[in-house]
Amino acid sequence: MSNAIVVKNLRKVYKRHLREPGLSGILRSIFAREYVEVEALRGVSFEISSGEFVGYIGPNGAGKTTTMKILSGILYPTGGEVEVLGYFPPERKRDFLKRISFIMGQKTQLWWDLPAMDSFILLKKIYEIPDEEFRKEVDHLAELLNVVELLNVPLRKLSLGERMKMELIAGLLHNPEVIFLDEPTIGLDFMSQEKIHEFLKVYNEEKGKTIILTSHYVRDIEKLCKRIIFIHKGQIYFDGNKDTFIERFTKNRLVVVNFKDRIPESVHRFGKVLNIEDKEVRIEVSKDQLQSVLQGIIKSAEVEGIFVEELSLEDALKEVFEGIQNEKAQ
Amino acid sequence: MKKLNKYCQVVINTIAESSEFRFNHLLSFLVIALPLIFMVLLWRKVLGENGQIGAFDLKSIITYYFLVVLFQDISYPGPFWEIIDHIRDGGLNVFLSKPISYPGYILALKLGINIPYLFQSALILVALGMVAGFSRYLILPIDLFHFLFSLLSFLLAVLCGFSLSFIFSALTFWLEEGRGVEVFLEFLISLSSGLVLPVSLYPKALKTFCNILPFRYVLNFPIELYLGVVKGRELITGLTIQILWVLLAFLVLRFIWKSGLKKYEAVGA
Repeated sequence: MSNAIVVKNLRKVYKRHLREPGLSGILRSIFAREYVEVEALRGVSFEISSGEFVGYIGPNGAGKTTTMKILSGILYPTGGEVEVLGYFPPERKRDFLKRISFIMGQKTQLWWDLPAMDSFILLKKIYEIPDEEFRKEVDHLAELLNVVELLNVPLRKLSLGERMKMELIAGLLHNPEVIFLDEPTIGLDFMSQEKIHEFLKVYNEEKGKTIILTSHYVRDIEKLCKRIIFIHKGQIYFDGNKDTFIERFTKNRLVVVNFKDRIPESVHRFGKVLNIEDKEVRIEVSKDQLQSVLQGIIKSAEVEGIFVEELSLEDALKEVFEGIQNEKAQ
Repeated sequence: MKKLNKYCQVVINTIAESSEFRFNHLLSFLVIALPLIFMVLLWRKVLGENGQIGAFDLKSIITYYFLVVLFQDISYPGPFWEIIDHIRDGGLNVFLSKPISYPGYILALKLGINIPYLFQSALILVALGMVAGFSRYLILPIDLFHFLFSLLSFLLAVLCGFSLSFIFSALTFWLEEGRGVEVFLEFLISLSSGLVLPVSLYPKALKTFCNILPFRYVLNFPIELYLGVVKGRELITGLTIQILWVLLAFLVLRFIWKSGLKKYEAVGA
């Protein structure tokens, strides 16, 4: 499969000016403005094949949005190489811009006082979409997202979730090959999130587009992405399969035991007991001790069933974030 | 032609959107238009029915202020809040990742807002003129020649005013706080654009000064052309300077926009 995105040793340095609070700070900033350089990306490299759905995650300020902005041509990189669909994005060639889409959960491209359909018609002209194709695409997407009756309602009268759905349609009308999704579920309730997940999943499978998703909601990533790129302080911390990520960053496993008659008192010895319900006990056990613990449990009492569960992506992320916090504290 | 399609659609969308605020415009326009009555009273007192000042008589001076009020919305330079907000809050990102020219988009937006308002304002002004009794002072252009030239000059004025407004607003790329430049320019523009008094009535030195600056050509010049106050050689020189200013302002706009983009650091890294 060909590469849709190639990034080599990408760097981005921002220049921010400092101003101390108060009047003296204002005066000083007029006469002798001080700048600090902020290194948002320090040599990031990765490749993404056509059709991949990648979760690009990391703590606030890690450099996620900066990367997306460089990939979509909004920002000029300070150093390194970047290629999307064979183009150098910051040149913003028309043909390039027609083949990508940057959908932002926090910025709207729709007209607030007009029905979404009017915004779509403008996009049709911007991207020069033929009539027939446009109609088909709007119908198809609106049906998938269940907003057919809302197309002619002024945007300001829609709920946040409905507006986000319109935003998705707006971003996908021109059938882009590479899609940058920046926090598409921000502020949405659980049901709306679910619907957007479902939609994105179907869309990706159906059309085989390359999608990069950043989100603070673990569930977005968990549901949609096979591959994770974790970025921290402008550097890649992990790049690989989601399961590998979980495997690598969780120290513990969850052991669920169903005892036959009674729960032995020694059960607390095996690990951290999370909960006991009837004769079922859930214990968090350290990965290295898993074998011996399992043997110990079987010896301690008669067991009806025993399973080992992987911890979730959320648990893995929690571990990673905690690790990062501790790093900072030291 | 296909390329223009998208900008036409921006105009259409803006008209559709701003029609929702017709009433807001009506009210705010009345605030601008009502002082016209005082202008009429003042000049009637100053000139009497048959008086003359410079090349102006009572009719032409009243028509002058009538046209100033009518056209200042569309051609007078001022900040574009859209641009300032887009630069500050990163809304510009939406446009940068699309195959559309941002200055072209803003121009279409401006035309979409101002063209319908221009008709609405004209209606309000004529109605006001009839009620307040000054419509009898309004005059038509002296001949077809002057009318056509004033029309051309007016279109150039809109373009020039647009470029200047764009340039001032795009300074937001560099000025992260304060709008000092605009406050300073406001004074200069209101003086040299003929907003307060026709430039032809200024003392010679001041007039020469205004002839060189671009601001006369966004408001005063096309109106004085319409009234036939500017004619002959002055017409040719003025129109030439106007065209040069339109070109220069456009070039500066392009330069400012390109270097501004380089400076642009999208918000919220």
